[in-house]
Amino acid sequence: MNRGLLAVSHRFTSVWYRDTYVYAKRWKTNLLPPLLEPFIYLFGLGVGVGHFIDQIEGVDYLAYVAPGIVATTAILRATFECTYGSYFRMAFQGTFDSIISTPVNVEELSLGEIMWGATRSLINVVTVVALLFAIGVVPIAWILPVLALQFLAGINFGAMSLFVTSRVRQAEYFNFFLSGLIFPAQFLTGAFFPLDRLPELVQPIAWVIPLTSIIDLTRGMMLDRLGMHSLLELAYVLATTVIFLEIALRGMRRRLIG
Amino acid sequence: MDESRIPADTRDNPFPQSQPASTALGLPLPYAPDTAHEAEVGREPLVAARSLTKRYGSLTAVNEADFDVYPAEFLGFLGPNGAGKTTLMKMIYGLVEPSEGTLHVFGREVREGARAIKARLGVVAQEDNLDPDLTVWDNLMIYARYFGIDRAAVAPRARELLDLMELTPRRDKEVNTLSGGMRRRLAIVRALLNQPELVILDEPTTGLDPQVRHLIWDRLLSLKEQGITFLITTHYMEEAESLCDRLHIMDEGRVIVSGTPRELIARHVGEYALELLAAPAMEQEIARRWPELERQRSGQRLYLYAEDRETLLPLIEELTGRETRLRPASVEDVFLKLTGRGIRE
Repeated sequence: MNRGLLAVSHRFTSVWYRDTYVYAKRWKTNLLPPLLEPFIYLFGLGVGVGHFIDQIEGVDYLAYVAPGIVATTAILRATFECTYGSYFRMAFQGTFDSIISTPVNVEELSLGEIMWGATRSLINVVTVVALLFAIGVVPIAWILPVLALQFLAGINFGAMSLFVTSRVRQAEYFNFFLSGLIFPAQFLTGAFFPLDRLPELVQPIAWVIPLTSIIDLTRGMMLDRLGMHSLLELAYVLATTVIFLEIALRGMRRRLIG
Repeated sequence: MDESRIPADTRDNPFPQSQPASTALGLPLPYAPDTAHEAEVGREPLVAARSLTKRYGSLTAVNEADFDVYPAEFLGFLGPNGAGKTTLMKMIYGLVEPSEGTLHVFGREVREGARAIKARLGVVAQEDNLDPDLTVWDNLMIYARYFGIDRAAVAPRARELLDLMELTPRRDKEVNTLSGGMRRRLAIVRALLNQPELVILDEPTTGLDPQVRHLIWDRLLSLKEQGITFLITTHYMEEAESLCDRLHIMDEGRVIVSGTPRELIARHVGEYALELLAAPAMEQEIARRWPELERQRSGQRLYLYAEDRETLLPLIEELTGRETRLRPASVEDVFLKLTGRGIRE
């Protein structure tokens, strides 16, 4: 019997539909608060911090930091959705058990949750990118590729997060993952300052985190600096996404089937 | 029951089955049919378990269970807490994988055919797992989608079932605003959306008031008339006796006895029971003078069983002045006799 990604059929879309439907029902309260965060970052870093920085890698600080904020918005939303959101549905609402009592299997349920996390990321990223386009920080030709990449970033971190969710016994453990790993990781990934400011020993570790590649790719698109290294980065993001998906789907089967 | 509340078309054929359940079976089953139940000979079971076992580490939740479920029957699993009833149900609908033995549902091994099996099953789990983020109606529409049935196709059936369970006025309410009884009824509606051939009900009326329980029993029996097979677990003896054609009594993971409620009563305790308060000394006296009577003690209370009233009448005369109660024996007597009177936790 197939396991992991091989066990998935189109039925994962019914789970994605469920989550999207619930979100759309309350879109005003769902959309606005999380949106404020990237705008505050953009304003605080771009306008506030940027005031003290002339140029960084040849561009204004706002132009430098914008791709970092786009990518962190993408990964954080998916991470929240596939940790607290999924855990809540799984442990307190019994939603997962009710879904896998139907022809939808655990793998499809899991993929549906991850795709929803990525979709929710994308909703927020679209508004951030729209603002950046309005102030002239994103070239029009790169809007769609940037959005597609952020969707991929959402899947990558959503899958990693759902794997963590498959292992935790209490929601409090997410604090280790979020405060201990995800939040600090943002400062290792070149989101807010160039990687070469990191100690040389730390730099290879920074490249292990897929977010580093995602940010460099996003920046490459928005500042027109793509190169051969970009292909490597994309390959790394794709490969880790497949690995995270596979372990997330298998982890959830272990968790949900007795 | 108020028949007029059920729409006419529902009364006639509320749940059209595309085909009788028995012909829906696929290949011949790879085991000999269970011949223990004479009425069932020649019919292929919808569910067949052989030496079915589930272990969690050193704990054996289900221990070599053997049983069959035949088309259009109402089958009950009775057992004290921890007897393995829920684990058994979950193995049928795929939430628990068997450790050993075989379990065939609709002629397919559960580990191989899980998706195809679940498409033909209805499940009402023990815990309330309605979707609290959705209204009553959306709960049904979204659930149907998990079966690949779209809104337009399922809406007429959803309306009929809401009517049947007297939930139509709540259609647009959030699930969280419903009472416990309404939530259970909605869970049953949800389990029937995909026109299941077999419906699993894990303690469907636990914690509900008598009115709602009777409404649910009534509707379940009317659905059984339509040819749906039911598998139910319960702690309520009254529920088991009024709904079930056959019972499997479980204890410590095993199916210890099976039969119709009347068979079980006749076989294990006799038709009549006499209850009285009796000190151990008095029990010894009774045992000496009426050794043929089956006795059971629970605290201060003594239970005596016999095939007919006449056997017990002299005893009652003897005990004039004491509080005695002569009554027909029930499944509860069988249950307590077989599983003991100690509390299970």
